[in-house]
Amino acid sequence: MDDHRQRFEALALPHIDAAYNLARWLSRSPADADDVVQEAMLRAFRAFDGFRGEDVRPWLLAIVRNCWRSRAADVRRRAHAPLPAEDDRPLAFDGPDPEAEAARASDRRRLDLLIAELPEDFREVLILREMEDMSYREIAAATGAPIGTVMSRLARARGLLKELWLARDRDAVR
Amino acid sequence: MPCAKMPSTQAYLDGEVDGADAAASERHIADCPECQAFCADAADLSDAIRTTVPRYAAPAQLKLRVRQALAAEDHARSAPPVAARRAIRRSFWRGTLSGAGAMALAASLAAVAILPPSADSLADQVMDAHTRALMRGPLIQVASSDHHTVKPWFAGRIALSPPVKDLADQGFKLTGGRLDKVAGAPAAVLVYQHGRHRLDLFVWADRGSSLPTTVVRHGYRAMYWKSGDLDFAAVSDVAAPELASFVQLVRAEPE
Repeated sequence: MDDHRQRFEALALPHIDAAYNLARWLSRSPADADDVVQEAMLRAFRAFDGFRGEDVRPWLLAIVRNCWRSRAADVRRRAHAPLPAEDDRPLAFDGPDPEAEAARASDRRRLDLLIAELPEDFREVLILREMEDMSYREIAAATGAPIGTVMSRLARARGLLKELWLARDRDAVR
Repeated sequence: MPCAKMPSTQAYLDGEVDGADAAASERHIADCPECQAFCADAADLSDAIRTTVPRYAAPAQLKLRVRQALAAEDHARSAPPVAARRAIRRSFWRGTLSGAGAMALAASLAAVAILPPSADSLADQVMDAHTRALMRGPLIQVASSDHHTVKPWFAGRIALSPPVKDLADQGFKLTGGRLDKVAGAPAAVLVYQHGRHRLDLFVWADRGSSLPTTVVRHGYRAMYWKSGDLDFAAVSDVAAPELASFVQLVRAEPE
């Protein structure tokens, strides 16, 4: 195996889960996420010789994001956006208590949907911060936005999510 | 009208600031109800996301397809002539050997890490972790006086569930928690406030090491004990009787 590929498999491939999670939350569709990640990994592989930074993950996620954006633009041009998939969410929990299980499942579905409803700019910084534990600097590198913008988007995302959350609670009470 | 310090409060909450800035944020948050509410909401949200929203992993099929695509791309890039192919084979073996060497090294490192630390080194490590946090921060990664907020924050971040007690009525106010390390192993740290003094309660998984009892160094005092399969250390600059009564409360009260 040549050096280039060995290096890529050692440094970039371990981040494929992060790449998939981001693609999945951006596209809200497993099929699109598959295609986006496959294309992004190949693009990253081709561009890897030119990669001089220290941190592969933000660099790779920036490519994932660009792949998604150009794909989304194509889809819009063809003017039939796929509906977000509802039914194939992973079962991340295994507990013996069916009641708690059901409560958790409905809670999960709810927060899931609320996050999916966020505008894309806000959704992506939230995912990168809360699920990938990335620093502001890394998020800025992945999204191409200045750190100040990352901070204000994150604050907006949190604020919006809280509003949506409270609105849901009120609806549930009514 | 949101507090003008909200951005720095958020940065503090996200672990983006340390040292004097972190201390300034902590002082501000202590006096600002709006920033306190923001911290509580953000911590709740963060907990809810981490515990109830899936982080999707790439399906095995996709990983396989990506590897295949990389291999195909690789072959397309370079169909090496015979001499080069021989060189590749040599470098493959060299790689394997250095791989074995690396494995042996990793094994010996692991053996060192698995050995339980001595009582002396534990005493030093806990003191160091406490003073390091005081000087450089972050002292608190989850800011809350509610043990129902602090306890779940540790779930998913560390493989142990520290007993979190609200001892405000006894004069020790829970202010939050953070992750730290003791002798290379992850530790949950609960941060309490007593008057103007900080108390750190370190909790880590017992590895059979003998613990020191009480250690005094540079004005700081630490008390150690075991409970079940957990090791505890309470560290602070409070007077000896206060630290002792804190330890008594932590050990005695039901959770």
